Amino acid sequence: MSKIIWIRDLLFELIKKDLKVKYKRSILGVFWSILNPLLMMVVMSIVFSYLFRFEIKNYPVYILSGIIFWNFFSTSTNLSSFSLISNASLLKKVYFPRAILVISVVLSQFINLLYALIPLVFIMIIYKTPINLSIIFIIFPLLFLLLFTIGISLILSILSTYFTDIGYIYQIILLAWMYLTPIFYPASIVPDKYRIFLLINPIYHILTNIREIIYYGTLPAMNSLLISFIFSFFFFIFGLWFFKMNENKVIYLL
Amino acid sequence: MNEDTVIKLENVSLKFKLQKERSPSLKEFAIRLLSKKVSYINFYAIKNINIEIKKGESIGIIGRNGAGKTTLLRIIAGVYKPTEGKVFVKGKIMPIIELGAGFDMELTGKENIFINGLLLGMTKKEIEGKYDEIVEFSGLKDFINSPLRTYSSGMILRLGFSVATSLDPDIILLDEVFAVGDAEFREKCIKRMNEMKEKGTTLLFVSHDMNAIRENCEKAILLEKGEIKEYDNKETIIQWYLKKNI
Repeated sequence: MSKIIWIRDLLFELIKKDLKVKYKRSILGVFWSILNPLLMMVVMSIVFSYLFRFEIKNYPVYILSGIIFWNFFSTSTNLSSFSLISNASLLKKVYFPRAILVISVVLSQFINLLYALIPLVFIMIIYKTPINLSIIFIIFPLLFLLLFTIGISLILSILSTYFTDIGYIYQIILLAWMYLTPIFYPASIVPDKYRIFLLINPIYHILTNIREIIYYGTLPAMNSLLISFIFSFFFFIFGLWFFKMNENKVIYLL
Repeated sequence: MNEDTVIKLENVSLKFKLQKERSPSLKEFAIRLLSKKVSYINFYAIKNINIEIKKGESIGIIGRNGAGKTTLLRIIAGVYKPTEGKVFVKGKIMPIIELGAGFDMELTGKENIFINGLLLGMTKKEIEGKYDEIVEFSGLKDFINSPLRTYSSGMILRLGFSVATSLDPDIILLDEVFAVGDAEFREKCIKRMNEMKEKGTTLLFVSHDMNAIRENCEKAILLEKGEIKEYDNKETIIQWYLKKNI
């Protein structure tokens, strides 16, 4: 019992530390979590609606409802791929459940994501996107996104300890992954022969659920919600297992 | 297991299977894997250790560089899992192997006390109860709300030692940490170590400084190439070690 309290305290304190350190030296502090997605949205809206001319209604809402969730995923996985290496001296000194280091990084980014929902609601009101009760269902794709991100982060943190290059290769993979995911463009412009790339992309399914709720104001389709659920649980469980199998081996490489 | 026993190692070995090059690039690894040239070296960092340590004993660990002293402490701390044998540890264990590991330079002394205490296995409530004592012992009361990057390395050391020893551990693992810090704080540390020994804390002490071993320990272990060469009264071991080194 006291072990559970200890893990809860430790996790809580590590998250607090991450958030504090992140904004410690900036003047606007935590407001950057709110401001950053708004500024990105402005840039993207200008680039994509004037240069590429997608015919999407309320384009800023469309962009924002994609980019903040993608940012959460990409920042978390990127940071946690280095989280074991950068805590090497600590990990070699004292034993504690090491996955906590990775999970705390993801959770502190998740709190940032919750902050970023504030400008999203703000923009939805400005563009008169209907907000109704079905918005409560956002909890499900959010949870799936969190589990998926933890899974991928656990796998990456181990792999990049075995091979330092993984951390750098992953940045390129992320870039490709971002363009293969309908974040800025509508999924409908993807030609049929390439649709397979959407269907095997868990982020695509989760984003579809999110957009159905936020952008279209409808309930998410049950089958697509189920696909997101299966994908994210699979990667979450696999990530935990993979971490467990390897954590005692990578410790010698740190 | 005897009731007084706090640490017991049974046939403990740690075999490293090392690639000849440490952490290769992915490309190299792939090439070598394809050409079946991934070669490993097997070597024992710790070999067939059997030892039983009782509550309140203080034991010095002596040996040359690379004899496996730090590795042995890490196995006892649970950081390394032995490849063979069994490790039993009873009670709260406090590794003072690298003071200040886990400190964050951007956070204040106070915030670091909490993070460090939690990482060492304390709950927040326990740390709150000990907080005043920790600050008092470190002598850093005036700086406790300043970020750690404004501290000198000696101050960081003091904070680390204060956190680790204030939390009533049953077993302390010390690895050459007295080498740093000023004379006054060193005195204070030794005094505290003695107090803890009187309270029944078990001490494992790695050092190259034979005088420090004489002052702090009753028995000593001589490690050589990962094996226990001798385990006896401290004077016998120290004489052995000094004779061999000449």
